[in-house]
Amino acid sequence: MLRSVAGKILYLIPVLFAVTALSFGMLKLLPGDPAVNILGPSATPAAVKTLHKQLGLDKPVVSQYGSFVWNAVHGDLGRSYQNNQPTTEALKQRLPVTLELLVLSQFLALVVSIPLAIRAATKPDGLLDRISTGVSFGFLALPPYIVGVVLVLLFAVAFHVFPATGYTPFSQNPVENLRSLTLPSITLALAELATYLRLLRADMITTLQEDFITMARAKGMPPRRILWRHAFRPSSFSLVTVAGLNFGRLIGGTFIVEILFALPGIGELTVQSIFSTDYLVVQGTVLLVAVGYVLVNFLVDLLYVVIDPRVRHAAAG
Amino acid sequence: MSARVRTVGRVAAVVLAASLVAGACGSSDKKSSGSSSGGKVSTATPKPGGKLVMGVEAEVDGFDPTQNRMDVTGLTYASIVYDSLGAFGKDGKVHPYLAESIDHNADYTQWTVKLRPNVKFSNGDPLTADDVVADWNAHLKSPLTAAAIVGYLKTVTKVDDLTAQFTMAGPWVPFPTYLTGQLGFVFSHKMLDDPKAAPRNPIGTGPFVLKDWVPGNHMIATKNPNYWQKGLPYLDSVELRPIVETQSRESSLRAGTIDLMHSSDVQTIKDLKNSGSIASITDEKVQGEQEEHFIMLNTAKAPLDDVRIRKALAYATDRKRRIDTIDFGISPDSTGPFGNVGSDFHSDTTYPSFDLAKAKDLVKQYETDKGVSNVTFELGTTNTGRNLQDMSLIQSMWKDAGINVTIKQVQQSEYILNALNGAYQAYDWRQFGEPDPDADFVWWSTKTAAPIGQLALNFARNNDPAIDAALLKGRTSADDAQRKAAYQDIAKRFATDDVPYVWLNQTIWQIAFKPKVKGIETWTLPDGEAGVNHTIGGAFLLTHVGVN
Repeated sequence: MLRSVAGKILYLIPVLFAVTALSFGMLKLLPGDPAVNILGPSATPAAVKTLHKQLGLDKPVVSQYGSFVWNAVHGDLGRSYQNNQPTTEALKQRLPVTLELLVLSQFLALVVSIPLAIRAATKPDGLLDRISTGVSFGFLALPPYIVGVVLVLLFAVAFHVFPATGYTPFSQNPVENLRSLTLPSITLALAELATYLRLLRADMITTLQEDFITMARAKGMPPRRILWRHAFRPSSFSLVTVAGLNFGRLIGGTFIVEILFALPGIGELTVQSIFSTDYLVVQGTVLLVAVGYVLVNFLVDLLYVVIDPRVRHAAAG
Repeated sequence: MSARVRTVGRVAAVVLAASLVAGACGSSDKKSSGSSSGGKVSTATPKPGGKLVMGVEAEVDGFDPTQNRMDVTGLTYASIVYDSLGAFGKDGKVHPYLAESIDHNADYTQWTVKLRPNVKFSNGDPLTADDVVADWNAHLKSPLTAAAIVGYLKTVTKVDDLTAQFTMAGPWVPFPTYLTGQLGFVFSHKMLDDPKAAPRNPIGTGPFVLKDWVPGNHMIATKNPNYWQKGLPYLDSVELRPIVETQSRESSLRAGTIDLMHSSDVQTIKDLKNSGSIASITDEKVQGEQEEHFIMLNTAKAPLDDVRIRKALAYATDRKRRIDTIDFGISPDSTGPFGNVGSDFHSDTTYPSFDLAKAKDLVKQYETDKGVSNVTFELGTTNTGRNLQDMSLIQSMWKDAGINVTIKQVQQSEYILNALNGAYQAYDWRQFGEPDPDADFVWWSTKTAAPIGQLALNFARNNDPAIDAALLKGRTSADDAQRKAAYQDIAKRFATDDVPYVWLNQTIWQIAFKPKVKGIETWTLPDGEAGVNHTIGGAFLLTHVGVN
């Protein structure tokens, strides 16, 4: 198994190389001189020259890439040209917001979709199955910017249950923190919930028709044990894969949700940095998101080993 | 998506900080006031204490007046930690604020600013003339702010510990208006020692002291215990939250997440004007020069280098239909740079009214003269659905006159660069919101109308020596009537001779707030004159506001 993990880590190396190279190349792909793009049209030749030196643009490309990776590994992603804030500091301030939002939305989506899917799979075409199918398709069809606005109108403006915008750090006030992230998390979770529900339901129906389930029933095993212990585990393989892949889609969703709810996360930072042509910050956020995506999917790969004995045994053999 | 992005070409702030001058009134003697609506605006005196949360349309890039772009939001942030030397009163004049007096010599070539004694910066240092001299000399070298003063302001020198003297290259009558905004904010000379740290570490004499700023999330400032105006500020602390999405800002106010907000989005203005639980004021009837929305024409590029086509566009634009369709009938009409509502500088510009026959006739004349059969060009706007909708309507109006335009949506940053370089034909644009038209000198002068490919602040590249003469008269004349006539001449030149701008409407800014917010319209300046909290463009001063 350790050999399998080591192999997966080896696969990570070229992927991370590609990710860092693309993030680095982003600045190079801009038309014109990156220094002029950053400093704006009123930049003096002296300022452009200084920035060339600061960014290492006067060195060969390979050397520039090496410096970029070296600096990134040491936490130096340059400074914002908007407010002179170090990019790493901005990412450190924003990352917890986005991570919390992602974790909460995934948690909400899974905690609602799994029991519903299992229940629906036990009675396909039953009342619960039909209702959950209809509602989940409805959620799937609604884009987050519509869901978010409706939730705000209902729970913030009409009933004053949750704040409409803003973020309170957990360390400052845990209750307010959860209140500030409830509506954004639900907004993100609804579409995911629908996907997970449909996926797990279908896999569960297939699994429940397998011989080993018939055998378990014949042996008089309680239905709850059959469902959760014997059917759910092999059925969750696709769910785990999709949950991992969805990480990227969810990050895309945070770009909209963080703007809508004025949350100071990575998505909001990226959008504002793009609008203000703060290229070094955009480069930093892209690098962080890309590396994060790769690492999450690496963890999902590892999780297969835990949940599927076939993979585990193949790895051991 | 956001008011900020919708604010096409609000370049005044982006390129040069046109909000170098801030205020609410022109230099007239007429009373000026905002227009209030919705819930009742309380005139009760605020009680000390409490915290106010304001939702703003964008994040700022910092607090250094020589480096950071102080647009509407920037001015609001800066006025929390700094005080300006002068401030506009409701009488339309600039009154001393952090300055004790602002005086001039007989021919307005020298201005003397005397500071108030015993004022301290937030770091405990005393305010002296050295700070004013250092600040202004830094402005003279600043790539951001120098363009507005360099060449006209020769030197700034210290007379004594509390007096600074400004020497001009010639008479500069409206100079005090420059003491009211970005240039007028006084900051400690120590900020200049570390330019990299300055944007995040303001040292001012303002009503509040910066406590915490997390860009994109919040800026919190607490009451300055040593503030020079006794009894002020009323609030213990203020928090400014950038909420870029206009709808989200409105929902936040309705939900009570924030107490006060600003907006120039017509949908929001309409919604909040009619709200019973939200009070609001707008700047539509404030004196001065309101921001205008227009199509800016590049007069150096064919076919727009021909005034007949420019006039044809003006005749072909049905402004009323557009305002009714796009702006819900809310935005006031505009036929010149000074709007049609409250400005003292407004006059009947004889700007073309909608007349399709005249537009067609001018197009025909042009086609016959040039031997072309089709007038086409590109109309640019920024990347929002609303702007596209707006420009599509204009496109259809112009098509009726025989002018075919293709719409191109451009990223905001590229948009401004294109305007500076002349790499455009016609651009959807908003600009010219100044309390005094003297601040438009750089936008309209032939000296800043460089050829295509070179950077020009006269974006339309309109070369008219008559406008130069009028701008100079407006700057050098001490007679209000003469100044007024000079600027009215400019408006007429734009309307009938040059037509570099196809006027669409006057922009409105709204300040909306919860009824608990007091002191919105009650403020007395140190010399006893009534002051103006809200300024043209939605910037807002929180010194005199309370929540109770």
